[in-house]
Amino acid sequence: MSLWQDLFGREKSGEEVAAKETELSNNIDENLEMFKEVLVDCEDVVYREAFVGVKGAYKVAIVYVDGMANKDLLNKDVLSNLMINARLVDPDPDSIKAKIQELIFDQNLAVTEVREVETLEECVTNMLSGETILLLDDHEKGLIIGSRGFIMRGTSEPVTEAVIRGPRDGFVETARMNTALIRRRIRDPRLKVKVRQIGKRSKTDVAIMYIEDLVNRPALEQVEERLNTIDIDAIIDSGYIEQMIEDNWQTPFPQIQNTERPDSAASALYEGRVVIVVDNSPFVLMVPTTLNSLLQAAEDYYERWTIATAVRILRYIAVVISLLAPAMYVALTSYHPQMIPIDLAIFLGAKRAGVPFPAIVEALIMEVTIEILREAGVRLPGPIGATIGIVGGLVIGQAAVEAGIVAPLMVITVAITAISSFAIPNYNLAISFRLLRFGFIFIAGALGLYGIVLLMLFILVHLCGLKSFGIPYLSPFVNYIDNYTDLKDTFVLLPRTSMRRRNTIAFRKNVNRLKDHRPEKFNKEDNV
Amino acid sequence: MMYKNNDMISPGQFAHILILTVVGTGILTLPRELADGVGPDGIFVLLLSALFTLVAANIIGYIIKRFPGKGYFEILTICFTKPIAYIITLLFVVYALLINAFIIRVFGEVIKMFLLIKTPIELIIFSILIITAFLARGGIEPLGRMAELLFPMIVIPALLLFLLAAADVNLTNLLPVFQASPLEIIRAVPAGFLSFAGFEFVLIFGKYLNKPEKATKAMSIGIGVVSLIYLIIYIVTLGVFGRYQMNHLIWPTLTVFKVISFPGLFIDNIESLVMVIWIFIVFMSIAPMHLSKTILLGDLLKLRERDFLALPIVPILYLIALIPDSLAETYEYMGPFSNYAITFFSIVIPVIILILSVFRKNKGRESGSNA
Repeated sequence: MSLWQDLFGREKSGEEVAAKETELSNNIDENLEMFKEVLVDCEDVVYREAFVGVKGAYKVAIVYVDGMANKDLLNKDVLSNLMINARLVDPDPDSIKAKIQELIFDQNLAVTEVREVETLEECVTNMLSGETILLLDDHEKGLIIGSRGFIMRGTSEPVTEAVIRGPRDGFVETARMNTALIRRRIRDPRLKVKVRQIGKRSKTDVAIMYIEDLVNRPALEQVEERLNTIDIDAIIDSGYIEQMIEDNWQTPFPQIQNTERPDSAASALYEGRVVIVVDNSPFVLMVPTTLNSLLQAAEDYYERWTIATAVRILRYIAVVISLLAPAMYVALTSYHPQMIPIDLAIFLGAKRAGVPFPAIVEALIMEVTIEILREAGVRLPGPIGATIGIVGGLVIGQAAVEAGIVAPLMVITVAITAISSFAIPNYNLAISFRLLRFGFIFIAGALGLYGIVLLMLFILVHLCGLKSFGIPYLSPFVNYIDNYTDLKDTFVLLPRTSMRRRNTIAFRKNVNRLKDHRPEKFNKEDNV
Repeated sequence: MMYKNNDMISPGQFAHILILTVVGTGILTLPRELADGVGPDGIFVLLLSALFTLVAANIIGYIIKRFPGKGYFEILTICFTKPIAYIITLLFVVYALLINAFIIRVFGEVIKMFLLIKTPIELIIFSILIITAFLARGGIEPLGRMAELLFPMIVIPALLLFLLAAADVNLTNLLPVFQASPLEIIRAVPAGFLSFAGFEFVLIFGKYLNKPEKATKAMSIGIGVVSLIYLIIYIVTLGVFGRYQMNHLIWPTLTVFKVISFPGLFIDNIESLVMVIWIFIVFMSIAPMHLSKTILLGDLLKLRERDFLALPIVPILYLIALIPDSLAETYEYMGPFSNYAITFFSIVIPVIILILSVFRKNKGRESGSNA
């Protein structure tokens, strides 16, 4: 608690932006003055004043931010209606104002979203989110017209989580669009979307989504509680939220899963997890997260189970290789040559004899090189990135062997390691394994196989202590006696028909996801 | 930290802790000590001592059931008086320290012999103790999870390896049974029972069981699994080596893997791989003991926060482990001590607690009805 406060909560004296509330007044000119005062030097704000009604007796004004509001909608459905239709009002001077107001509220605004707010601050916040404010003479409230129409990227295929089979739409930078993409997959009124604004200056929309009767309640409560503690000036990306609400900030392991895929987010919701959508970020957060869930890819569930199981097992092997392969090389060559089959050992010894460095230096040289290559490849545009890979992988590897800096087996080891780490579906997890790999190399250089096992134990102890929003990070492996049904979706993936129960992360009441369904029935009907 | 653990373990995790603690303590010497006395009839000795342990373990399970949510010290205070409780708890800590130091020392020697010939044993011992302290610092919850996680990681490869070794079993080594007289068999039971040492430690963890009513079931299943593991180990090692060869081996359980040869295996010398499993086993055996020490010391010193105690115990343990000059001396020191201490803490104390608690409860009931 105290640590949390030290990091995030201490600065109570921080700057307060728009903490005071200013009521709108009855006079439209005064209101406009207030707007202009607050938004001084904001030249992207557009004020449009107009006189409507018979003889133009009644003043209205709209205020919006250029580029964020849908101008088309304002022209066609707001201004034209106001200015033309309002002329039809009965020119009775006493009641004209009341009538115009009635007309505006009930008949004339041909837009879907209209709300009334009372304070200036609310008006400004809404306007800066892309809405349009309609101010009326003699009316002490502002009308907010839903007119968000800023530039949006169209949905496109997610880059980080591409699939061969499966939906190709991905999240975009607009929170509302993202919630809609999820809603399209869950047409259930029990799917709740709770929006709040975080960031004193950025006022970023953060939506919490969950299915009411499936969600893991304690996790949901914690999400809300932790979001409430955030007191920051701006949220640029969901990564900010992730770092603020994760359980343990010291660990290299990601405790919150992110995805660009609406199908992954929807299936997470069906599993009873909470989804956090952050505006301006195409990455949606899913909690609670387990190590197992980070090793699942969306496509696993669309393929038939035999293939999916094979891929899963392969992936777990890839994890082990990407963590341990270079360290094992170091340990075997420098401490336990008796473990290497004798023919290989002789050959390897001959090759290593020319290498001037101990195995650990050899491993570090190659590992650092490949990490630099990879980092360079990520930043470069597509074709050049591929070139870097070829130049780095083939040319440097071959040249290093010929120059006698490293042994050929080392090059193979490093290459396999790099490929394996790409087989991990979650990028964050792959990075943390990359970090740990260096730890393993160092300890293997110091204590050999024993050191590797010790570090493995150390990491396992650490992982056993980790929790993500109340769920043990290593579940279901650490509680399979109670939740053995969860094992069906781990390093194996059993057929869909056999997974009748929901993951136990979910609220325990609605555990059944599938009625008894046996494919054998189909054959019987055929025979009849 | 902000989000605290609730510090509870499930009966499944409880059973896993039990199994790993016991197996790690007994696995090394088990086959030799049994074969020493009775040879092939050791199977019956094993079964008898398993039965005996089952009774003793159920007594402990029953105590946990009877005092749900109570720690070892509290139970002792209720049954005896406070001064006696202090003494017994302190003795238990000393006992745990010694048996822990013994295991660590043997472990260090094994690692030195099989894996790191040139590395000083001090470094080997110290490095694993640090990780043990790291786990003990986390409390009971990570320990429970760790036990449940590591159990399949240990048992599945170990069983596969024993299956490979089983190819070399010579049935004549196992056969003529019923050669020993019943008296001889019964006389060998205490030695067999000693291989089950370690189950008394779970009494300390009974406090954290989220379903105390399942304690006896967990204990029985745990001891059952241990007996099964021991039976497999005994049959395979005896079948491979025979009674007389086994007597000359320090660690028959480890040596048995030397016979494995499997064509097409990428890694030669399987016993180096066995070492990996062996490190896991030993770690999961000393970690619960280490945690129990910190818990008991925390109780003795009336500390609310006891996690920091895990680290200061390490140097003490380290020094004790290095007292004997050689492996032979280690066994010599440990032999007589372990017989008495294990009997005292795994049988005598639980039985007295059981009797006293029954007695006290009846007394309490009488006084309750009078009031």
